[in-house]
Amino acid sequence: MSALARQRRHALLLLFIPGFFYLVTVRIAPAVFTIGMSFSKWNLKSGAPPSFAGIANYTALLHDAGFGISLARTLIFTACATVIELTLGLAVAMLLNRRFPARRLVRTVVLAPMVITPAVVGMMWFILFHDTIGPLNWFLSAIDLGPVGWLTSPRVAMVSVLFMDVWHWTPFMFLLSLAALQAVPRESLEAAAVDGASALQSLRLVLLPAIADTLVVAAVLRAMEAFELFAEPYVMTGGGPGDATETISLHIYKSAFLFFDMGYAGAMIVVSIGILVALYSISLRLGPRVA
Amino acid sequence: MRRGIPSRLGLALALAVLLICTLFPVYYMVLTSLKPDETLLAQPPAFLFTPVLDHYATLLHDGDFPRYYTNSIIVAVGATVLAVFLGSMMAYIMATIPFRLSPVAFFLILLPRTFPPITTLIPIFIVVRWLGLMDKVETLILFETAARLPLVVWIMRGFIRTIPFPLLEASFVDGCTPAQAFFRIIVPLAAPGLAAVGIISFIDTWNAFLMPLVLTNFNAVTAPVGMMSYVNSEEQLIWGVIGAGGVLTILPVLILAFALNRFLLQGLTAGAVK
Repeated sequence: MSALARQRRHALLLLFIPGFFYLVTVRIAPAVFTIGMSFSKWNLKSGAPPSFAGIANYTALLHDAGFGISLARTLIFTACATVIELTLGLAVAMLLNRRFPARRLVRTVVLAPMVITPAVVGMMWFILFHDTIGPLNWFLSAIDLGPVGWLTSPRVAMVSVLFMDVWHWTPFMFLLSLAALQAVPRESLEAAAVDGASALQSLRLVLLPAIADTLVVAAVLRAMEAFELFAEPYVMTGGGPGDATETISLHIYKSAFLFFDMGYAGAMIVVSIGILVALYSISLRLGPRVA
Repeated sequence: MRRGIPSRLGLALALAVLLICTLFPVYYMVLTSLKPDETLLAQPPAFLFTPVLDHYATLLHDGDFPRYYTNSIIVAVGATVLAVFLGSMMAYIMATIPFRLSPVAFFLILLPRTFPPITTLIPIFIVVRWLGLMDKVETLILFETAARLPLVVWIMRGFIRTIPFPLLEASFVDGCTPAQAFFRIIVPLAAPGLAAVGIISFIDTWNAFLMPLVLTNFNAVTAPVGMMSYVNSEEQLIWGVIGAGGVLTILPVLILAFALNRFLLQGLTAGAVK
């Protein structure tokens, strides 16, 4: 072995293997364990050791209305959040791509919500939505539209969560849209203008095709995170009223850490990962066609 | 292109609406944190009053908040330093020294990015409890570091690839081993990248909720989780304290985001689309 090859092997062992081994132990192995767990009957509270249950947890899931409703709710939320945030984010990006004073500062301020701690975002909106001390209901009452049971009415609560999410994550869509817009060559837009394209035409025919790839990636990333929504509803409503805002993550969390039904929780996790992977691959396949 | 007055007015109006929508929730929380007790429950909500720092004093003097806050700082700094250190070394190897199994390794490194946080939490909870490591900041650092690693490797690999290869080769000719070259050549040249992943790792760890919620119950509770004990309190006048806790909790991430804005944007965009 040459000296360089030996040194390279040395570097590999020293710099790469420790981190890699760590990651596999702490992230990959538990995920594999979760899959295994989903085929077991294992309640931590009962004290009985886990036993093999075959696909019993999965067949039970098929008959579990609570799981189905929570899954449907989360999927609808994910679709609404992604579409609204993508549209608003793009609109904001086009707005802030124009020239005006203090543009950098405005951009930074508009991005701020996306770095704010999710639990605090939940708390902040809990105050805003509050029946008695919240300013929203006071304002709506003042113009004769309220009060609205933002977090207390089962029919409204999930919409309120959606409002909160739109505030929190539209900046992320704005950030990626702006990055994509800035990469569009000025000439192609000017050429469209010379050819007499209207603003709407140049958006549809020049801008959107040029940034479609980025938008698809942004939408997929956002959808995956929206599907995992946990901290905000946990803080704002605890999943209530009733189970009106119980997202799939909250549902799994409760069955694992309130009822300690680990096998069943494992099966729900595997199903949600399946959905995430499907979302991911479908969107990736869709991507180039959109472009 | 010259724009007329109406267009400029429209722009100004749109910007005003955008800024108000963005800032109002934060502004109202700050306002709540500064309200004297007698105006807290006022109907309609008071917007003009003499601000007081009572709620901050309550939070900092009698209660657990200082411990939560210290824990948050220790965990976020610890996990950031470890993740950036380990992750950038891994990224360096991935970018410069291809080995037979590197595609497999790369896949395994990035795979956990698609896992929802809850995927790994149950086994981690069981093992941590079994080993008696519950409620320790060290435990949180251990698992939060691992949660940050995939993104660090992903972004740093992109940054390191932009470093001209002849520069590295010259250092080998000068007698540097590949390991030494990492510290002498890569670290200084990839400093902006290190800053970017450092900020993102810090913010992500600081904001983490599910892991600390499950793995702590008293000693190692972090600020976002600790705030819950105030929200759940039955006390009517707790709003001011909740507001103050919220403000203090988001202060470090906001300061970082504004002060190191350039690096943050670079990192966020690279993390998503590169």
